[in-house]
Amino acid sequence: MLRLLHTADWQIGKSFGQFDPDEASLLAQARIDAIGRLATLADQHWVDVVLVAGDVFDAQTVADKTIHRVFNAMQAFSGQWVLIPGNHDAALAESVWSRAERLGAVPDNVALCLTPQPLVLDALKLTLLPAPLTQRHTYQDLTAWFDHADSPAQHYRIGLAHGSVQGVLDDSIDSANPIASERVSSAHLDYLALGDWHGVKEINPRCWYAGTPEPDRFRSNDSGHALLVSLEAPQATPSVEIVDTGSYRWHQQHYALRVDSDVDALEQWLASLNDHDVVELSLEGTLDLALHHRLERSLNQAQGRVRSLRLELHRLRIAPSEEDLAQLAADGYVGEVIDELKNEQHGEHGDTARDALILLADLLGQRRDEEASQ
Amino acid sequence: MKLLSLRVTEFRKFSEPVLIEHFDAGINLFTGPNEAGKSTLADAIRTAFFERHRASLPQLCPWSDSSAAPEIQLEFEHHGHHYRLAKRFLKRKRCDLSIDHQRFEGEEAEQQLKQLMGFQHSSRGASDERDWGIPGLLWIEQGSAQRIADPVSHAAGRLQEVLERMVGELATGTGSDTLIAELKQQRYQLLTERTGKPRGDYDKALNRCQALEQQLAELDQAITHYQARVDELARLKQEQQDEEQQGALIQIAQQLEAARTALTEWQAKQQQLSSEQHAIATLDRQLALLKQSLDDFTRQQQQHESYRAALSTSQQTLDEVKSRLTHAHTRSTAAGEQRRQHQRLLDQARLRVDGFQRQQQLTQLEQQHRTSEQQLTRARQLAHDIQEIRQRKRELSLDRAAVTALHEQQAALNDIEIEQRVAATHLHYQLDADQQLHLGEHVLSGTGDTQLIDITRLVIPEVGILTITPGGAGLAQLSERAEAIAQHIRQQLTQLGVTSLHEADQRLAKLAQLDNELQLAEARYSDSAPQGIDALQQQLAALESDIAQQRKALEHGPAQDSNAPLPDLDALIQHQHELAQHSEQAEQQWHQLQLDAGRAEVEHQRNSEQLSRLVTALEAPERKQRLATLRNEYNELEHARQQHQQRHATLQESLASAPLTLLEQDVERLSRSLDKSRQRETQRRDSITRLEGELSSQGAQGFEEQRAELASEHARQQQRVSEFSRRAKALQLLLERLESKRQRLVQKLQAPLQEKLNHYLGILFQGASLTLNEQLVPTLLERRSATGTHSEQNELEALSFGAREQLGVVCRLAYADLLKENGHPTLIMLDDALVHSDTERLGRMKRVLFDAATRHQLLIFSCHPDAWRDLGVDEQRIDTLIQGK
Repeated sequence: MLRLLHTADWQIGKSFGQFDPDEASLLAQARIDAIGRLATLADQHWVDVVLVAGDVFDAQTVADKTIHRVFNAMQAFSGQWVLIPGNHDAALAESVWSRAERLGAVPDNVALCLTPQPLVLDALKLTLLPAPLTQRHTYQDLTAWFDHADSPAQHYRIGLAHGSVQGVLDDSIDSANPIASERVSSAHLDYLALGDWHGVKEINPRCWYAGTPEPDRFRSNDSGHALLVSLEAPQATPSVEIVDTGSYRWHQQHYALRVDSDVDALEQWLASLNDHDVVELSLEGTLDLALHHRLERSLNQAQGRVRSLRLELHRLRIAPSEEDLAQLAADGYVGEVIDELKNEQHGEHGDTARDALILLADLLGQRRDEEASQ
Repeated sequence: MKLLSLRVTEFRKFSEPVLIEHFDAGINLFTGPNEAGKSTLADAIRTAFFERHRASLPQLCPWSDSSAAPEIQLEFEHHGHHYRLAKRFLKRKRCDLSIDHQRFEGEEAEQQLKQLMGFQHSSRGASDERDWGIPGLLWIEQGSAQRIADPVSHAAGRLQEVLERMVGELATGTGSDTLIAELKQQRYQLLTERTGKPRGDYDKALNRCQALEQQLAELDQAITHYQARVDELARLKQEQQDEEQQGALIQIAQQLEAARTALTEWQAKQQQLSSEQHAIATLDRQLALLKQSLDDFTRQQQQHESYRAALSTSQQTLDEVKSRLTHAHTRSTAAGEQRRQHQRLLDQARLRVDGFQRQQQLTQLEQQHRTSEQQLTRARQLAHDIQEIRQRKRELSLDRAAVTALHEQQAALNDIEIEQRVAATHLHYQLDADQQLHLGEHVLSGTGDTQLIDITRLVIPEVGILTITPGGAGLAQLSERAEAIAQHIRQQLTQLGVTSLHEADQRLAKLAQLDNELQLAEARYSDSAPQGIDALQQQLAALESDIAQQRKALEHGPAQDSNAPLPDLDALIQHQHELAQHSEQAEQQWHQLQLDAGRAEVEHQRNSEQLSRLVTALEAPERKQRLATLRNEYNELEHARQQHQQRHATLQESLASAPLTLLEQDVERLSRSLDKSRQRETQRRDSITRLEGELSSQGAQGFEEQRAELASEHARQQQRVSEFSRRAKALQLLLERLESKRQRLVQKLQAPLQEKLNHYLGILFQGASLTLNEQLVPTLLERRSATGTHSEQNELEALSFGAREQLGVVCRLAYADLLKENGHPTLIMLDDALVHSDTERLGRMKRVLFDAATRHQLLIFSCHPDAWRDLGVDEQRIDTLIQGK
C-alpha cells in the first residue's frame, strides 16, 4: 500500500498586480499558507510521500526570504517530499534550486530531482522517475526516458512530470514541454503525477493533473485542490481522492441590469460573498439616476465585505428620467447639457459622456441636498 | 420717474433750507461755483434713498450745528403714482412715505423704496456702494463717471432680471454660475488652468507611472542580462563536460607526443646522413692518395724514356757549346792584340800634341807678362801724380765759407761807398794845364771830379790851404762804418793768407781745378790697378812662375819637330775606342760560352745520374709487389665507398620526404593547441566560478519578484492615471458644454442692451461698437481707425480718462433705457461729469444727453454754466435756491 499526496504549480512569488497592494499581499500569502495546509493534510492522511510536479516557484529570481518561507511552510509534514522543477523554475545552470541549496534552505526530507535520474526509495519500494525541466522551454518529451528506465522488481513505478499532455488539453496552455499521452502504458507506470495545468484534471486513471492548491485566476478551471493517491500494490489501479486546499474563491460574474429587480438580484448575490471571495464583476444595462445611485451604494458596501471586487462598468448607461431632472432642478441650459450627454453615451466617447453625466448629476444632487438642508 | 420737488433742511452744508419747487421732466441744470453746494444737493437725494433713517450718521449735520435734525423731503411721480418722501435723521428720526394716498412709515417705508428703486440697505452704519444697486449706477458721483465696472456689478442682479424678463429665458439663476465655478475648481485639481496639463495627484500619478516604467525597463534589462548569463554558464558547463568526455586535451597531447617523436627520428637520420657524408669524404681522401701512388708508378715508367731523350739532347748541346768556345777564344785573342798595337800609336800621338800645346801656352804667358808690367808702371806714375795734386791742394786750401762772407762784407762796403758818394761833396775841377792842387794826399790836375767825404784840406799852391768840410749829415758815420768793415775785411784777408779778395777768388778757382785733376787721376789709377799695385805685382810674379814652369816642361819634353804635321788625335782616340769595344765583346762571348759549356756539362751529368737512378729503381724487385698491394687496396676502398653512397642516398630521400620545417611546425602547432586548450579550460573554469559567484549574488536580489511587485504598482498607477484621465475628460466635456451654452445665452440676453448702447455710441463715435462681458460690464471698444482704413480695438481701461468718462455716461444711459422699458424708475444724475471732454466731444455728448432727456429726467450739476448754455434749458443757480438769502 502506497499513499501519495500529489500537488503542483504552487507558483510562489507570483504577484497580483491588478489588485490593491493589501489585497495582493493577502493573495500572495495565501499561496504560502496553502503549502502549510498541504503539509498538514499529508501528515493527517499518513501519506508516504508528497509529489510536487513542478512550478513550485513563479520565477527564478525570487527573494531569498521567499525561498526560506517555502521550505519552512513544509515543516508540518516530516515525511518524504519530492519536488521537480517546472517551466517557471527550470533547473538551469543557475536557478532558484541551486540558490536554495546554497542557502541551505532545503530540509533533509525534501528531495529535489534536478536531473532525469530515477529516485529509488527502497523503504517504500518506490522508484520515482522524474522529468525535471532543465531549460525554460523544451520541445521534446522529457518523459521519453521513462520507457527504458529500469526499476527493481516489485517496486512501484511512479512518474513525475511537468508539461502538457499532447492532444488532451486545449491550446491555451503552454504547448511547449510536451508529454506523450500514452507515456503511462509505454513506461509501465503505476501513476504519473503531472503539473502545469492549474485545475484538477484526469487524463486517465493512472495519470492526473493535480492543479494548483490555491486558485490564482478568475478563469474557472477547478483549481484549489490536491490529490490523495492510494496504490494497493504495484500495477494495481490507483484510487484518487480530490481534496480541497484552496482558501480564496475566485468569481467572474456578469449581470445585465435594466429594472429594479435586476439590481435586487445582484444585491442578493453580493450579500452572499465574504472576505474569502475574489470577484470580477462586469455590469451592463441602462439605469436612471436613482437606480444608479442605489447600485453605487450596494457596490460600495460589497467592496468592504469581499476580499477584492473588481468592476467592469463601461457598458453601463445612465438615462436620467423626468423625475430625476425635476429633482435635480436642472432647468435652462444645464438641462440641455444633460440631454446632450444622455444621448452621447451611445456615441464614440460614450464613457466620457457617461462620466460627465454622473458627475453633473452628483453635483446637482449635492446642491439640491444643500439647498434642502438650508 | 420724475422728481417734482426737493426740500433740504439742516443738511451738511445747508444750515438754511434749500428748496427746489420745480423740476423739468427732461434736463435740469444746476450751476454754481465750487463749494456752492451742488454735490451736497445730489448727496441729499442719495441720502434720502440709501440711508436708513435710524442710522447714526453725524456727518449729515451742518458743521455749525451739532444739534440739527437733517431732513430731506422730496416728491416724485412714477407710473402715474405720486410719491412723497420725508426723512429726518439724528433727531426725531422719521421716515414717511406716501404713495398716492397710501402711507408708509419707518422701515416699512424704507422697504417700499428699496423695492421700487432696486437697491439694498447696509446692515448697519452708513450705506455702502455695494448696496446701491440701480441708483448707484445711474447717479453718478463727482469724478466717477468713468468708473463703470463696479457700479454695474452692484446692479447686475436687477439688470439680469430685467434682461431675462425681456428675453423670456431663464439662466437657471445664479446656480449655473456656481455650478461652473465648482466644476472649474474640480478640474483645477486635475489640470492646470491655462494649458490644461495634468497637475497635482494626476501629475504625480503620471510621473510615478513613468518612473515605474523606467524601473521596469531597467529591471527587465537586468533580468535579460541575468538570464543571458545563466545561459552562458550552462553553455560553459556543457562545453566543459563535452570536452572532458571527448578527451580533446589528451588527444592533442598524444598528437604532440607523436610529432615530437617524428622530429627526433628525423634529427637522428640527419645525424646519420652527415656521418655517411663524413665516411665518404674520408674514403675519397684515401682513394685519392692510392691513386696518386699508382700514378707515381706509371709516371716512373714514363720518366725512363724522357730521361734517355734528355741525356741525348744534353750530350749534343755540350758538344756544340765546346766547339763554339774554341772559336770564340781565337777571336778574342786577336782582338786584344790589335787593340794593344793601336794603343801604342795613340800614346805617341798624344805626346806630340801635348808639346805643341805647351809652347803655345808659354807664348801667351809671356805676352800677358808684358802687358802686366806696363800696367804696373803706369799705375805707379798715376799714384805719384795723385800724391802731388793732393799736396798742392793742401797748399792752396782756403775756407770757402769765409770767402763768401768776405764777399758779403765787401758788398756792404760798396753799398756804404755808394751812400758816401751820394752824400759827398762833389768837387769838379778844371785846372789849367799843369796847374796842380793838393787835395789831401791826392794831387789834382786837369779836369776831373772828386768827392769829398771827410774834411779835406785843399792846398792850392800858391794860394794857401782850403779846408773843405763836406756838409752832408752822417758822412762821418758812414765813413766810420766803412772803415770798420774795411778793417774787418783786412783782418780776414790777413787771416786767410791773401792780399785781396780777388786773390782769394783765384785761389778758390785753382782749388776747383785741382779737384778735377785729382778725380781724373784717381779714375785712371783704378783702371790700371783695380786691385791696387800690390795685386798687380803678385800677378806679375805668378805669370813669371808659370812661364818658368812651362819653359822647364818644354826643356824636359821630347824634341819637337815643329815642321811635322800634327796627328789627328780625335780620330785615333775614336778608333782605339772601337777596337776596345770589339775586344771586350769577343772576350765576353768567350766567357759566356765558357759558362754555357759548364752548365751543359752539369746538365748532362745530372741527366746521366737521373737516368741511372731511375733504371736502378725500376729494376728493384719489391716494386712490383707494392704495386699489386696498392691496386688491391684501391679496389676495396672503392667498393666501401659505393656502399656508403647508397646508404647516403637512401637517407637523403627519406629526409626529403618529410621536411624538417613541417615536423617542427607540427610540434609547434600542436603544443600551441595544447596550451590554448589548457588556457581555454582555465579560462572556462574561471568564468564558471565567476559567473556562479555573480549569479548567486544577483539571484539573491530577487529581480523577478521585484519586477512583479513593480509591475503591480505600475498597473495600479496606470489604473489611477486612467481614472484621473477619465475624470479630467468628463470635467472638460461638462465645462465646455456648460460654458458654451452660457455664452450663447449671455449673447442672447445682452442683445437688447447692445441695441441701446449702439444707439448712443452712434452719436458719439460713428460705427463704433462696445463689447460687454458676462456681467454686462463694457470691456472692449471697437471703432474705425483715424485713417478709416481698418478697425481698431481698445481695452476700455486703456482709453483716455475723457473717453472713459464719455463711455461711462453712455453705458449708464443705455442701462437706463433698458430699465425704463421694463417700467423701472430711472432718474439720472451727473455731478460735474464730462469735465474732461473737449468741445467737440462735449457737443456730441450734449446731443446724447438731449436725446436721453426725451426718455429720462436728468439732473446735471456743473460749475461751468457756460459749457452747458446750448442745452436749451434754464440754469438754476444753487445760491438762488437757498431760502432766506
